[in-house]
Amino acid sequence: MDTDETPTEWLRAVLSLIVLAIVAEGETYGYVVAQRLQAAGLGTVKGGTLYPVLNRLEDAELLTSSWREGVGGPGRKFFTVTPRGREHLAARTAAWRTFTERATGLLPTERSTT
Amino acid sequence: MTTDDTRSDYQQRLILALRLKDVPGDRIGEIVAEVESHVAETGEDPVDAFGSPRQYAASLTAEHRPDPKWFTAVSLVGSGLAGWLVAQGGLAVLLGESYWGQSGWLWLALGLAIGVPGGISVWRRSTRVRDPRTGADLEPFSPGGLVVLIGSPIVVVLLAFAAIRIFG
Repeated sequence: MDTDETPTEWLRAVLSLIVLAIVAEGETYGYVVAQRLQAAGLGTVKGGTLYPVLNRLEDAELLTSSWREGVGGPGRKFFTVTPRGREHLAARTAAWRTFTERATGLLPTERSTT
Repeated sequence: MTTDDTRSDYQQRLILALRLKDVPGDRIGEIVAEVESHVAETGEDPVDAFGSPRQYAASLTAEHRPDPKWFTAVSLVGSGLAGWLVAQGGLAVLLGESYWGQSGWLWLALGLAIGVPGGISVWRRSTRVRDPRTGADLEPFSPGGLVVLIGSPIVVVLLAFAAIRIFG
């Protein structure tokens, strides 16, 4: 997966939308979000990148959070999407599709590059 | 893996770094708890996952919104007015005189009514680093600062009283 040469700024551009999408699938916490990103082949997103994104989404009232007691652990901060977050996700997902289609339209096809 | 020692050392340095950036106490507690919870889950070294405390604090405060100007202005004017009323009221009470035709107690009470709620809110926001998981303080509290804060105006009023009694 790391053989893909993905510039980090691509992930930076879309990370908050992806994080919102993961939380929108069901209430979850930071560590699980990081694991989902990794499992999807998007590489390791460090805590120092992930938590500021989650908190910005919360500040924008797209997510809410609450601390809950962990089992033998120090507690977890669970994030839940808000109705406003769902609207934002739908609108931005559509915009992202349009954007990437337009960008792809300008890029050479695989056959023509080889 | 990290030991508890390095983890708490990281926590202390992160609190200090965020303090130096004027981050409110509640927010600091939240940030520190996130770091702790994350590294406990992953077993990572906090420096690997979040960068050095200073770097992490700097990256967070790039987006930190400071208090609006009106809030600072109201706090300053309110605390100035409260301090002035308490001092004048206190002095009038000590001298057994009235101030502006009213009892010193009235001015004293008015000053406290203005100053105490504001003082408490500033105190809570600016100094307490609360752990959002337990509500406990993450930072040991030193009572010395509070003594100086409350004690010094009282000393000033008493000195003024003494001066008026001796020279007046």
